[in-house]
Amino acid sequence: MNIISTNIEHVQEIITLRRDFMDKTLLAYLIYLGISIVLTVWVAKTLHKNGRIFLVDVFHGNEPLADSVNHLLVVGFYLINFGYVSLALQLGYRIETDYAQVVEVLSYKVGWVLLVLGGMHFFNLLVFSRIRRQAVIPDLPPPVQPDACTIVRG
Amino acid sequence: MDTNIPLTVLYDKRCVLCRRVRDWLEEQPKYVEMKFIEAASKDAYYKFPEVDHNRTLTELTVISDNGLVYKGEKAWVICLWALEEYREWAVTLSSPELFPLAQRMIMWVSSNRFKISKFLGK
Repeated sequence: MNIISTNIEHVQEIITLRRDFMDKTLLAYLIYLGISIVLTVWVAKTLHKNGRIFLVDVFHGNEPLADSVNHLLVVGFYLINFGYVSLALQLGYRIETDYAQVVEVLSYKVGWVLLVLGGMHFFNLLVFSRIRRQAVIPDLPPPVQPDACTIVRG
Repeated sequence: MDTNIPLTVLYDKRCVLCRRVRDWLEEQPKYVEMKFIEAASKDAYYKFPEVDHNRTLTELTVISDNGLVYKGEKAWVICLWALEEYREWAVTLSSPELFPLAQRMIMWVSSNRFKISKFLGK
């Protein structure tokens, strides 16, 4: 009797192990990285494409300059965001329970990545907007109309 | 309108506040050249023969070298507009929301400028 129950337990253990095709923590990490990298690249490409149009206008059609500034901004964007994704990866414990917990962990971590990406995105827009303002100021016409016209001698 | 035509500011030399403002304006970095002539002086009469010079003693007047005349609050706004660091301010102040307020403030300072000068000393 004992041998049979031990065997049954042993088989159950093997079945459980087989269902666990990958360590849950590792799975969570890989999915997290996959989603975060895709999201970061997508937002960066959006910024790059639309930022260029904006910068070319700000720099009065000077395309090499616009491309240069745009590239610099995007590099900074990638550095900060990948930096955050990397730092925020660590869970601090192993996922031992179930796959629902994997989803919970992912939703939490990806949520923060999205918030940071969103924050950086708006920050970039702010930077673009400041650049534009500074470039446009010397071209602003007088904001008031003259009261009269007169002769000027000398 | 060609936006780089020099401006001439007719200032009230009797008023200490006006002199101080003139000195300050002179020191500021500018997009547009600014010249200063005493209001109702011989130079003023010569340069601007058609202008009512008595009025220029009570109301700040700024005239561009191509004959455009700005008086009162508009003259103030044009002075700010000429300055590198205040051009944006000038545009903001002339917005419909803020201009009436700016007008009242400028009128108040202008009518009280001798009192203010006394308050500033000298």
